[in-house]
Amino acid sequence: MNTLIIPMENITEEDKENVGGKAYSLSRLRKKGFNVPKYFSVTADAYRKFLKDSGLEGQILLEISRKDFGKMRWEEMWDTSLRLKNLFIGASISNEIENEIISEIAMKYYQFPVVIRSSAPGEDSVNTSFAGIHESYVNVRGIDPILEHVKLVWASLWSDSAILYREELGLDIRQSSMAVLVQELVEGEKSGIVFSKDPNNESHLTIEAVYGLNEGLVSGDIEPDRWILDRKNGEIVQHIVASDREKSVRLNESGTSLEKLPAAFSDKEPLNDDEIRRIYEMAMFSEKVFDSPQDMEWTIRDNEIFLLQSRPITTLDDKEKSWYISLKRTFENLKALRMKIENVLIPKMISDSGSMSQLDLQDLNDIEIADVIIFRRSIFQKWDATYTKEFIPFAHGMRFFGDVYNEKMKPSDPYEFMDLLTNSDLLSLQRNKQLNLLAEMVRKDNSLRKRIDSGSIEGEFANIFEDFMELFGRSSYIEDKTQMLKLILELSSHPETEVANSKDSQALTKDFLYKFDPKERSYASELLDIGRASYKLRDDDNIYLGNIEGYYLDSVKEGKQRLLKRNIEQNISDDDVIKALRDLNYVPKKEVLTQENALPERFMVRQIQGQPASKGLVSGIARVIEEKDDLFNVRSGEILICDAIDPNMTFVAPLVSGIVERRGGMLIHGAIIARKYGIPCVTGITDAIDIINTGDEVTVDGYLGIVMIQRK
Amino acid sequence: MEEKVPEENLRQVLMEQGLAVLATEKEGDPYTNLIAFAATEDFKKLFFVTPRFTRKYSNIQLSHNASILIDNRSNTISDFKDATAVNAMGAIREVDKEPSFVDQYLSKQPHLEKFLKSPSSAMMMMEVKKYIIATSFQNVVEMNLR
Repeated sequence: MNTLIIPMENITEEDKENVGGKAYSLSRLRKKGFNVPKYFSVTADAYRKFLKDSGLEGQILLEISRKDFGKMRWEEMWDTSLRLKNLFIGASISNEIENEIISEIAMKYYQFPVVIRSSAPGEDSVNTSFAGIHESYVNVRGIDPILEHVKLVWASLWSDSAILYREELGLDIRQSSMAVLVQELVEGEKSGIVFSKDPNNESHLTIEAVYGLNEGLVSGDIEPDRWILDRKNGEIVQHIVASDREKSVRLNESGTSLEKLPAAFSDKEPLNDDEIRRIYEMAMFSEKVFDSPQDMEWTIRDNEIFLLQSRPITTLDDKEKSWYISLKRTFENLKALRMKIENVLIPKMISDSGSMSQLDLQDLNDIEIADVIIFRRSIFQKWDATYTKEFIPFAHGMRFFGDVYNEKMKPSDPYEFMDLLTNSDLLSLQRNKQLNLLAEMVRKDNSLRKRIDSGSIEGEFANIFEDFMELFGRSSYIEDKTQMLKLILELSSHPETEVANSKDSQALTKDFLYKFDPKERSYASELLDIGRASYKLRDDDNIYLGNIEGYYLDSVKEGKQRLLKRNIEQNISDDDVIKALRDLNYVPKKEVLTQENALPERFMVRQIQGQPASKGLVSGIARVIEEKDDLFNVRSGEILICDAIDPNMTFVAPLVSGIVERRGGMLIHGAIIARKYGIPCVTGITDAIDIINTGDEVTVDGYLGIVMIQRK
Repeated sequence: MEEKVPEENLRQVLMEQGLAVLATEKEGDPYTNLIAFAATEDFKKLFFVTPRFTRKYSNIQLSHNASILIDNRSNTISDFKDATAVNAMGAIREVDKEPSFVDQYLSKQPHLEKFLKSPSSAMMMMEVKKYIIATSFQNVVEMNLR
């Protein structure tokens, strides 16, 4: 018979696999006399029974069968885990499990707020440490919220960071399970961690401490005071004072919040010598119990030390894991990142781009052109690196909002939250609006069409067109005005594509905000604001970066044109362009590009699963974008097949009837723009541009995320 | 959880499975039944044996075009991720029980020697035009053999 819950006093060695490492270690320490807040385990058996009873077992399998994890990008992984999490949120816990949990709560925990922690079997050992990978929830009160949060901890087994981390360790996620620890919350005045053996110095023990709860320290939002002790005798070797003691994590109505620390505490270190001594003794004793160095969390209330958890110090390289943990963002670090991006980085990008526009390349000699290429390349590379380091992480603003929205609203469509984010006025949509205005002028005036066809533009159209090119015409995709005019002509032969109005965005926003307690509503509103800023920036930053890249490529193009006069091959690297411009006698070699075939020729992919990114079903002729110029060959009604669409390319979106993209995820530009225009879209199709040819008949099923290919 | 290339999937299913579902038709009525099959090394031919008085035999005499489904499902939920289903399409005809065909067949189905050698049974051969290989529930690849 399955044991669905086990109170701490009944946990024995044979329950280790069923209650997980965390719950088992605490039970051992409790028996040795450590002061452990009371808890019970919702066992791994209960998790497996829940999966079976609710039918989730099969649904999870279908989700993870979509695509090999190794071929997924982090955004796709997040999509997968978002859908899985939504399945958990929407599933009901069977009466049998629910009754056992309820009766334990009713008997012993009814009066108390609790902490709900993951305790996955095999989670913490010398070789693997999942600290920070799975979820914990602090300050949960009442039966229903406790049951809801147990489901959220179960779901965190399927978070993108957990899936990726297991992949990295070579563990099969399908064999993993999750036990949950429900523990009485102790609201300590000060809390911290202790490493019984400092990983960097074997003769030292390290204690870190903050005021309030531990959450701020663990998430990195609060810098702790740190004490280095001699392991042999517990003497303090060094005290590293926190650079400021301004904040602490406190309990609020439900959960925790980061609050200002009263001035009286700011000047005072959180631990006194006696407390440091007691923590040292506790850590050394725990090390003795487990016969291995321990990483422990503790809190102090009314001068009493409570041990919250103890796990072996992992031998794993922490750098590796920190990347997986970085997939989780806190509200505080997103706020700080937003300030930096909006107030410092974007204005600097615009100014860098503006300063490049001042220069007329025609006035420069060859050597000066070489210098400009080097200079512009360095600017571009700098911003490209900033993009990876700062802008991509800010995309987590959307997912952070999405997580909270789904937990709160439990929508049947896990992407409903996107409809609340689309209020933002994206640069790419402003550009498309301008393009449509020009196309509309052509639609109404046949003689204008003929003039454009013959290559002459003048009057009002010419003025608006010039303004458009000045604002949006400089990107790596647009090489000259003729291409853009060709696109406008094609657009004018296509009825105007309206941007789809988001589904009752205002009503959804109101519903979301009113789901929060009045005291928490400003937090909810701030969260939505971050989500919207993240959504807008995710698109706009590419336009700005595209602009800078455009200037860089302009200079390379100018250099190549000058080399053409010396009959120098055009398929050469940028470094060769620079070298040849500086040295009249240098003749570079042509670059040989090799391409790998995705599949042997006799195989043809007929149907493939990706990620459903924008709902709808459409069949049409494929237009594969292999080179920039292909964008300008797109015909009205075709299905756009591309490797990775970026906002600098989406001027073709109003023309196409469906989008298929190799890169996957709901938050990528292809998906965002497709939803905006109401076009079916499937992303994450591996080798999309290799397995589909221009001219193939393609069906895009944006509901199921499937693409079907018919070749004649 | 690495994906296999389609050819490996195909080879594995053709070599490891003993039974397959044969689909024939007569005047618009489809008919399916289980057969014990063997494939050649190059996948181009599939052999099976049937008594001559059967419905499948008479259907094939009327219409040579048929399809054969070979899969490695385990009838558990994990099939949605792990199972491969191969659909062979082509024309089937009766062939002489030549030693090379017989060896090929019996190396896979040794227990059917008596059945094969019975004068009342026919050795049938499908010349495969195309394989359709479905994996992970919804991924489909075609392999043309002509």
